[in-house]
Amino acid sequence: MRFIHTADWQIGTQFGQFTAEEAAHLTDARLETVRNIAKFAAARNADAVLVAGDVFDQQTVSETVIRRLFTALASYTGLWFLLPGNHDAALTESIWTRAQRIGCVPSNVRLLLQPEVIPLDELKAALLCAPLTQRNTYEDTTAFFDHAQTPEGYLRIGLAHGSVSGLLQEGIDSANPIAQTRAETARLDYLALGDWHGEYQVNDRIRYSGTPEQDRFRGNAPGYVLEVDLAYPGALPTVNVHHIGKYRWHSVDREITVSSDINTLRSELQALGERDVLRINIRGSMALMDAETIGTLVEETRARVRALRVDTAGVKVLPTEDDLAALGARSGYLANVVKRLRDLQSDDSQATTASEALLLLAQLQREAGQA
Amino acid sequence: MILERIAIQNFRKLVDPLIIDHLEPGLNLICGPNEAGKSTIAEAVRTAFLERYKVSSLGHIVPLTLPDGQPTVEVTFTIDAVAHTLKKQFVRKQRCELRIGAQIFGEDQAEEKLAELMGFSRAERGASRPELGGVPGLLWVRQGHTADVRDTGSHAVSYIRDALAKLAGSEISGDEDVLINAVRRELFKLLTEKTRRPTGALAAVESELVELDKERDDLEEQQRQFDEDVNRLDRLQTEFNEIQRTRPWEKLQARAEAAIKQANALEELERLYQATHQKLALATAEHNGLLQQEKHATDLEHDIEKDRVALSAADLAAAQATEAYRVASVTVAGAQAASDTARLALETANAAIAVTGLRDQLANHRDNIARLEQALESATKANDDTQELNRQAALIEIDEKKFKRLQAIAEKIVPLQARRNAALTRIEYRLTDEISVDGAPVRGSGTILLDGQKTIALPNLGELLIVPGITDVTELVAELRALEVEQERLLLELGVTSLAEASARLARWKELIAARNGRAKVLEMHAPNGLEALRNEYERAKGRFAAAQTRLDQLPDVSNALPLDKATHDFDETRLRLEAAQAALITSSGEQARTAANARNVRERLAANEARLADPDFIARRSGCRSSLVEKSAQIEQFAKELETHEQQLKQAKLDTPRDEADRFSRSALLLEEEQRERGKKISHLRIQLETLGGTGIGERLAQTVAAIEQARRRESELRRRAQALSLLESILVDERDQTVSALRAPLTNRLGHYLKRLFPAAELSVDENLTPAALQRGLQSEDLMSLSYGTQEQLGMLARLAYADLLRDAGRPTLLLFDDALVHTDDNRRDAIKRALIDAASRHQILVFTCHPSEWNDLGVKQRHLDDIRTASAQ
Repeated sequence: MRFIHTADWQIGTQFGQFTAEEAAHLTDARLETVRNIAKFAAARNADAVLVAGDVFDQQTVSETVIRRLFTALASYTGLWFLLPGNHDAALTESIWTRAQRIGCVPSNVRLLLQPEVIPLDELKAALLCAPLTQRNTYEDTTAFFDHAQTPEGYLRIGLAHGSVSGLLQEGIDSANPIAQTRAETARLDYLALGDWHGEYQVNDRIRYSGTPEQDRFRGNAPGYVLEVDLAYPGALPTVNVHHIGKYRWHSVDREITVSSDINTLRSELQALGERDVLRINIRGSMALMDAETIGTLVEETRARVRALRVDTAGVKVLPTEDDLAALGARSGYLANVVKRLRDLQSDDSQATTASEALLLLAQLQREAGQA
Repeated sequence: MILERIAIQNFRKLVDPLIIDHLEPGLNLICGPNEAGKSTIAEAVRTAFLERYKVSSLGHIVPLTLPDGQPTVEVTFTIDAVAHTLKKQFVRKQRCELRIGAQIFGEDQAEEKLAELMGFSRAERGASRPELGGVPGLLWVRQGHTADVRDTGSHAVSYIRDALAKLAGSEISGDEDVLINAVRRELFKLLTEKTRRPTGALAAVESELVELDKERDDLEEQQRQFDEDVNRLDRLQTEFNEIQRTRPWEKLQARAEAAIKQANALEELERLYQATHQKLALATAEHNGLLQQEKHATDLEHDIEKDRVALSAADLAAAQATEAYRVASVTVAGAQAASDTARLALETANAAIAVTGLRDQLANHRDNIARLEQALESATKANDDTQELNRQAALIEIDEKKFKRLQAIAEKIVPLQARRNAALTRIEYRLTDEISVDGAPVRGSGTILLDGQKTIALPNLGELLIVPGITDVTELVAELRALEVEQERLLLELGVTSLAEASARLARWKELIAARNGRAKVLEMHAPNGLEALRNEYERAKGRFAAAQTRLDQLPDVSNALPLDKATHDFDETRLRLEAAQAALITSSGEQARTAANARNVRERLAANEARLADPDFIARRSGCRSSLVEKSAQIEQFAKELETHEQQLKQAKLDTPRDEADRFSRSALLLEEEQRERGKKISHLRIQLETLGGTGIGERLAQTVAAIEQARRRESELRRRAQALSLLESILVDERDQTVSALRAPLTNRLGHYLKRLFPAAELSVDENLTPAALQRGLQSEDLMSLSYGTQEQLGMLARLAYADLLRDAGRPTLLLFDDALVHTDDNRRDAIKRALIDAASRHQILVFTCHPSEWNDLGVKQRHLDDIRTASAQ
């Protein structure tokens, strides 16, 4: 049997750290990736797609978003199993009941709204489903797998959403815990998990697929789906880790000490394009000209990449003789102004304002000269 | 810059060519009267340097007297010992030529070169404006504009500052204001100019943030509500399912049914008890009825027995009463006869007493009548006498007042007559013949008293008129006559002839009145109430006598009458006896009737009762009744026993109150069912509500709002940082600019002081940020420039220009000072001081002074050039 294991689609996520326009692209990208998963599943001739929770980012998204999600599944006509996670738990009134009510759930899509065992006779397999029926629980929802009966000779495939105990720091009482030994105790051939956004293998039979579309800068291996083959009950699963995400998120934190650092940064940034989401944090003391060059570089990069966040609060501008000459401020009253602003940068409370003031001075002086 | 030669033609007043040459490098003085063209020279020089040759608006410089003249100005000057010649033609055939040493520049190129030399800009088109005039505009003072130093200064401030900056060794030209203005433009896009509050994009993003925060709070509240409701729904649904599974009301319903059965059994028992109770009551009632019947029969027997005894007693009493009645009747008849006899005797005795009384009355009446008859007679007589006396008195009655007056007159007259007769002239006559005196015949002898004028007629002899003389006798006579007249009148009135007669009549009247009063007294004695009353009394007495006589005649014969006391006593006694006998009779009659009736009643009742007791039906009924009584007693005993048993059972059953229990259980079951139905309804309601609310996508909107807030906050902090940076930049720029300017001001203040001390030895002239004179400080007093007199302003303006010129020269700029009719408002002392300043300045600058008062400027040690002379020279 072959199935696709994915999770944490988080449809409806908003990205406030970017501009509205950038954020809209990132939100849309998540649906696009779902469409790509459907195409991938079809191309790989998969028997089913298991989605291990957090399909939606929250319970109350608009009806349009619900419809879009189910429409995005269209390319794959095989079986979809959607498991409620902590973001979209199967509450009495939930996004799932709404989806059912508005009648947009296709017939090949199965919503797993309660703990149950689903036999797939044609595939000689049984799905053991442990949906979250409340947002958070401190009980292991997969506990019932241990005693769940399945027909003889059927594959036992678990599907759950939560945090495998003991992998994070000890002592953290994380919500929705899942026993690390569940695959053995419940005689599972494979346990498909969701919740962690990075792709992660717990052991031979327990894996997180991670989110297929990255949604934060701090991300360990997001952007994948898992193609899992199970030959017979008891056989070790064969897993193909397939990258499918649209955008890659980068975080660049650079201290500029010499002018050549800027060239290094430039070539690094020039490698990025429209499929990249970027955060730049630049620090350091630099010549006025260099500071302005960095400003230009940042704006060029912004035009190229999908989304950009910049933090230059750590930049200190130290005008050189050349800078002063260019400003016409080697001596006289402008020279005094520049000196005072430069000195103010050593006062932490005024540093940012002073360096920006210096840049503004340069810009306005240049414009005044041109006028 | 030193002007050497000026040639002017066809320029306003100056039509003919005018050439001023050999100008001195220092002070030059050009004199001429008003209207001679001094100002035209100054204007021509100004126009040549300042106005572009191509300017079309210079029509006014064409001479009025020569409309097609070609205005031309040629100026020769040296700068740093290099010869320059500038020649410009205006309005028509416009030309410009500038020679510098051997170089020749033409037209626009020449203009550019000129501007570069002079260091000023000019209007692109149109006439030059003051603010573009630069150094020449500042230093060249037109007639009447000397005092405009402030305006001119401000226009040329950048030139001055430029020059000062060069003096200070700074390399940049002063564009700082341009920069500051640019910074401010950017700053004021974000913060307001005065209060530095957010505006524009910053204010917009702040208010956007406020709205977004509010929206987020609203949505969070909605979301919280939604989540709570979902939890509530979950709880309700779980509860509902659990209750639906156990269906607790069914148990209660079963218990209710059991209780109902128990209640029905209890009711059956109660019905039985009631029936028995009724039967017992019925039997008891019947038993009592029978007992009553038997008692009636017994009572009847007793009554008969009693009546038999009573009947013999009643018969005896009736017989006794009848006898008593007969005896009483006899007694009454005897008493009646005795009473009648006694009444007759009493009547006779009474009549005898009446006869005696009447006889006495008749005697009295008779006496009285006799007395009255006599009195009546006497009274009548007295009355007649009185009337007669009254009549007589009335005939002789005299008025007593008049009588007394008459008496008094008589007493007066006598003495008076005596006195008259003694006093009067008397005529004693003894006549032979008859004469008349006052018409009255007089004869014989006698005496005539001459008491007045008298006419004595002597027959045949005529008349003698004797008039008495006026004496007191006349008066006496008049008085006497008046008295006599009155006496006569009184006598007449009294109807007497003399006083004596009157006295006699008065005495007689008094006698009559006394007699009448005596008779009236007699009448009053006999008839005190008048004669008529006496007469009536008499008549009444006669009537009373007749009445008494009549009564006496009617009385019977009383010769056998008993004494009244005896007769009365006899009558009372017999009457009492009769009354007693009659009362006894009435009593005995009643007793007789009563006893008879009683005996009859008893007899009849006895007969009826005896008949009832002997009736065969009565005897049979009584026997039946006695046997029924026995039967009922047995029944009563049985029923009472049954009743006691039922009562015990009921008491036991009632302890359980099964009907209440049944009610309670079924009510509880209904309540539980109703509660479950309500829960179901609540679930539906909540579900619908959640569906509706969930449909609005709260969570998505909340997430979007939170994202929008994050975006807006970022933009706000960017803008705020920019605003802070601009504020900082602006404050530092202004601060530095001000410091620099104040540093630059020092040399200017210094130069001003240099000249000022000649005019105001202890004063200081302060300079504002535009480097123009601002205030004059003398001692402790600071005066604003505008508050000074026009003359002083003019003088200070002139000194300021000298100072500016010094600064410009030091900065390597060409200078030329040109004063047209300056100092006209200046007194001699001040003028001397200014002159010394001018001479001082002239050692550094070329100065052209135009004046119409040559005598005031003849002490400068400089040759005065008269315009007339210049004209003449030019014409040759």
